[in-house]
Amino acid sequence: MQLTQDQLQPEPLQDWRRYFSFCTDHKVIGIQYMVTSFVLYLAGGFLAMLIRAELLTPDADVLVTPDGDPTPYNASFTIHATIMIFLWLIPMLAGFANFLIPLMIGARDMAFPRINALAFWMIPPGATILLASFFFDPPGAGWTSYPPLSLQGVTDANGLVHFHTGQLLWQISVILLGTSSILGALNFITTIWEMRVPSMGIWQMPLFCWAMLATSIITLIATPVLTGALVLLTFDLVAGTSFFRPESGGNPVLYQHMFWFYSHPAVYIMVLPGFGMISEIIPVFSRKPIFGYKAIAISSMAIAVLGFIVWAHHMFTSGTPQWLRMFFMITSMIIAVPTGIKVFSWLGTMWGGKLRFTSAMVFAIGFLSMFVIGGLSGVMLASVPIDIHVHNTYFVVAHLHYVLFGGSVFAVYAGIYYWFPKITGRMLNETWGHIHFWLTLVGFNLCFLPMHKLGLMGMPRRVASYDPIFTYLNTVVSVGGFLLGISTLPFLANAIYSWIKGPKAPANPWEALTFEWTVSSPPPVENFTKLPVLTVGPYDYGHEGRSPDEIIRH
Amino acid sequence: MSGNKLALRVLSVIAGLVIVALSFWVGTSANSWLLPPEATQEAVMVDKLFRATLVIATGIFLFVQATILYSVVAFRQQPGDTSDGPPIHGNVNLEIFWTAVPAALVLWVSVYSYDVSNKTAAGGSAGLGCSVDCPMIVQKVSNPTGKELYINVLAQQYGWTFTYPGLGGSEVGEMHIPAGQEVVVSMQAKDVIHGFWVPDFRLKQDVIPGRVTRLRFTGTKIGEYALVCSELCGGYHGVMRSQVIIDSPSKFNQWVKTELTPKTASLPVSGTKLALK
Repeated sequence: MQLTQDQLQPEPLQDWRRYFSFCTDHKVIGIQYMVTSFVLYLAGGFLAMLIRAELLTPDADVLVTPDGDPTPYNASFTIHATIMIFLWLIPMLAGFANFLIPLMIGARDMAFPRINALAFWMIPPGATILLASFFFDPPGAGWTSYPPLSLQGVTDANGLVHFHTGQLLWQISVILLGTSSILGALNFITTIWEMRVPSMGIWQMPLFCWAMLATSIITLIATPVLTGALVLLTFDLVAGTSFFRPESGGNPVLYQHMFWFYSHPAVYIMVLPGFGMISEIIPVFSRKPIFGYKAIAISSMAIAVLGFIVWAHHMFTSGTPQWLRMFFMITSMIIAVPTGIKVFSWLGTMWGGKLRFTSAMVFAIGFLSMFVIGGLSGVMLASVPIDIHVHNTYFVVAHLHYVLFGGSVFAVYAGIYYWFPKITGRMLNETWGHIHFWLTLVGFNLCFLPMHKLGLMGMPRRVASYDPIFTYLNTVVSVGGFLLGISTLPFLANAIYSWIKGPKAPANPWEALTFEWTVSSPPPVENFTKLPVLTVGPYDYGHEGRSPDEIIRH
Repeated sequence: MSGNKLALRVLSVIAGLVIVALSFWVGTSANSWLLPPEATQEAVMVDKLFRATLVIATGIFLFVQATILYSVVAFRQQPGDTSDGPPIHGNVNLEIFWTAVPAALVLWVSVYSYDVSNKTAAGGSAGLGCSVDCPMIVQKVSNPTGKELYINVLAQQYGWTFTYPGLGGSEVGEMHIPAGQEVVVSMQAKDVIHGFWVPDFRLKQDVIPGRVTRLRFTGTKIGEYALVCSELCGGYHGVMRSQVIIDSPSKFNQWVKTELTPKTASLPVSGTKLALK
């Protein structure tokens, strides 16, 4: 329900303490999400650098216990992945959505502000529990936590087998974080569907809203299945049930089905909002309307639907019958088509425009360039005979990082450079933004491009020691990894300095057309003192002074 | 047609030809710089498919990067120009085109992959890693040609042991197979899920506790090949390695005589040593 003019509350104190409280303002919650997840991103990145330090040499010698057991290595990659997925990308993108969606659709807050705050406040305990698991026999079964490995006890120095506390903590943490994102998704769907200003039909919504609508539908349908799988796994772990224990009749492959039923759509949960942000940024800095608005909006929905029938392509070597492998191969191939439509539409948007190379734009172009590589290796992975060779190898590690870093993280950075003035009221330094971009691009490719070859040549993933023939390429990868880690520093310095001392941002520094740029930077507490009326489409660039028949629409 | 437009056309035709040539060069030479040796019949078929998809992928990759590079150079905002670009919202024909072409390409790759997948499972065999849980496969395995060599594999943290039913009862720690003969490997896991992967064979199959999984293949090139565990199985997952040795048939028979007769039984090396530690 929208507040009417006379119901507007007087502004509460603009106090820093509200960022540490159960505040129901969507903008505060958005910032809470973004800052929290960025801090955790640094932790996850630090773990990645430890992993790369271990892999500088073929032997397990860095992340090992004093008696040479590489369990700490396994814990590092398990927690690295869990942080990057559940505590960095998903909450970071939820942060953007929280901050932007009400502003983009002309609403004064989210539909359920208290649920919104609750969803955020499940993240700090989830993060604390996950990080605490490091000190209680850390979980080491990978972020996939396949049973029976995840159900095995831990053997101590005296040969006694103990209950795996760290694994239990991991499961509790992921169940909490999953619940948080279900609550968030519920809120986004309701807000986008119910709270648009009357003048905004669904075909006038900014594409970021379309992307978040698709994302939230996936989250709402898929996440409960993961939560269910983890609850069953927890029963197996603590209560001696055997849903997944083969020795007493359970089926470990059933877990894989339930896990991937969520975790493949989860990839789209992590990348669709990034697509949405790119669809906002490229038209602004190309000074041209988005090319094929409806095709982009519909392809988001198509990806959301198709995303539910591709999961078993993660299981081509799990004893999946041939006919089922063929089914999942074809669906996985087809999902490349809507993704391709988006990529070509962004290229079409830039074509013939007047490109302005702001930091946001160069990251958006970097996204386009890098994401394509991940998309193409994805098609290769969908092919059953090729997948059988490269499944569980560094080829997959390369692929997923091209999608989730080259795709999502580049998009997140583009989004930060673009909306930072709106969020903080300050401008970021553009020169340092470009330095950040080039360091990231070089470090990223140095780190992940050689991994394709490592996988094809025969290096499996999740290993602490490897065949010495792979030493050279692994050294290159590690150097790239360290550079990628260092590339975060100029950004961090820029963001902290600019937030405190940067030049004040005007309401619309980029001359953009969506609603969030019509209010001051940062926006007032109630967003809009008077609700806006949509007079110009979100991407109607180049219309000024032109006659209607010059405008090419369809 | 103005001179500029003509130049652009010529440029794009040249760029297109260069992209096609580069894609074929990168894709078709993959075996020399991107892939390990091909040691089975199956590997040859899988690689052929891989090279074809790599040609397509490289083509699309180069097309996108070239378009980006051209746009960055040609469409940059000129100093002092603050006006917007042309208000073009789309082009239906173009959009149909770039939906149809990728759709056709992925369907072609699907059909080709389907074919390879069936052929590598050819000869009425269990083929690429099907489990006995699949009724079709049980039926096919129960109709053997009679010429296969059967090998049982046991995977456990952190090693592999092999037994050759009908050829002497010893367990061995590395796998020997004769070149040119079809081999059926039946695999069981003792504790957690492991993965049987010989990169030079392009074959991989998870070994899952509680069921038997199978692989069928024909070794062609004599040599020693690494067998690695491809499914995370615990702390020492990375050292769960062994070898598969493709021998000439006569050498293989010799090996069977000396190694598989019970009195000269050798302990499985890689596995038990670590497990006992």
